[in-house]
Amino acid sequence: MSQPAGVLTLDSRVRIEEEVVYRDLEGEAVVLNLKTGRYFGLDPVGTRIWQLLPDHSLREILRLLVAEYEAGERQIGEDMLRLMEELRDKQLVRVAE
Amino acid sequence: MVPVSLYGACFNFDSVLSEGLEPGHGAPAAEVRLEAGRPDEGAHWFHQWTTPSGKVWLRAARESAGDYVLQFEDSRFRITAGGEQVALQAEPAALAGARHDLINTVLPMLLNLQGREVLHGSGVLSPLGEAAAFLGNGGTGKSTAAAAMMAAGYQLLSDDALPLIPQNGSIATASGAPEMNLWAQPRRLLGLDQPGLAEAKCLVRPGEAQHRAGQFRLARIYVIEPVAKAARSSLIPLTAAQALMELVRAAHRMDLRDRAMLERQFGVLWRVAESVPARRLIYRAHNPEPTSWAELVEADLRGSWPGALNLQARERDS
Repeated sequence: MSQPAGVLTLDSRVRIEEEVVYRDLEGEAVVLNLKTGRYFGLDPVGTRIWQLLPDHSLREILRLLVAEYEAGERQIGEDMLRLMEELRDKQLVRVAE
Repeated sequence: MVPVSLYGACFNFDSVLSEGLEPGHGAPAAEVRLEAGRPDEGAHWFHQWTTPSGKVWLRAARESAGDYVLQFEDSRFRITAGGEQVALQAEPAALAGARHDLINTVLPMLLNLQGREVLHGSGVLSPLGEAAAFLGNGGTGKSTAAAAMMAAGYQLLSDDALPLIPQNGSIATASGAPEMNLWAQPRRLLGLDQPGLAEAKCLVRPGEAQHRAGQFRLARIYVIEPVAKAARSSLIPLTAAQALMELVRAAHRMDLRDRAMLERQFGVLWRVAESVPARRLIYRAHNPEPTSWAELVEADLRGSWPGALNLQARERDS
């Protein structure tokens, strides 16, 4: 089992935990860790990030979000890292070595 | 053994436990009998449930042979791995409480073990034949909400547990036991109070016209929440994702370690969140006024709650 550890940066490789299931409901999502029973709701931006996570690095996701949303790169980057930390604490994602 | 109907399923009950329940029909989902005490057989205790004050009220174990054990303060249930047999151990003085735990907690968990989902919540039936569910943390007023609706002409479906039965394009629910665990005030409201009953919660049996047995379409889900600074009772629409999280929180599970069950349950709850409109029912924590909840819910079910207009437009456009 991966433990929350290390510092998250835009260069971190974040992966969705294997035992996590996800449902998208009208642009918002709920993710559930089947191993722990812990779950988490994502707003539309969080849902977009979640959908991009499997195939993109955080830096690539940031570039895409900056193009899609009317917010500054720094703000989006900070919000995204905060979300990743929350998801990691709930064992919904892990930071790849 | 007596066949009884609960949560859309038939159970064969020891006759001591079947009093007052609706007669069941069809193949029984499980058989419930009384058993003399016997020692654990390699029990591995894997989960416990606590009250908000931190007191453990239920512990779950799995024996080496695969049976589940559910241990309450005064009773113990042993359930076969497939949920077909339930053996209840309780002293005669504790049997009434054990029966309550059986109906409201053990059978919902057993149904989950068998692939059916049950929510912790109360449910009522509107005069038009539509069911409404009330969910919420312990002590927030699920039974009180059901009683307020009954005082407004609705019928009780279930006081503490509601099954989710997916049908063609909609979700149904079904009745539980014709019993309610009510504080004195709602008991008086329904004419169910009797001299000598405590002010605290007591188990009472609604009149025949106040309860309805059967299976009905689930039209709304309300999540009850006391709010200290709320100006008045109100309904706030929940997004489907918010509703899904509330449903995950309210769903009964026998074994949280069972990933296949969790995935299946998540899928069923997702269907419910998508197809049944859900609202948060907020009330003033220090002045609940359940009558006002009933007025809001009635207006919502009739489609005349102001917020319903926007919701209907959104549901139509999506």
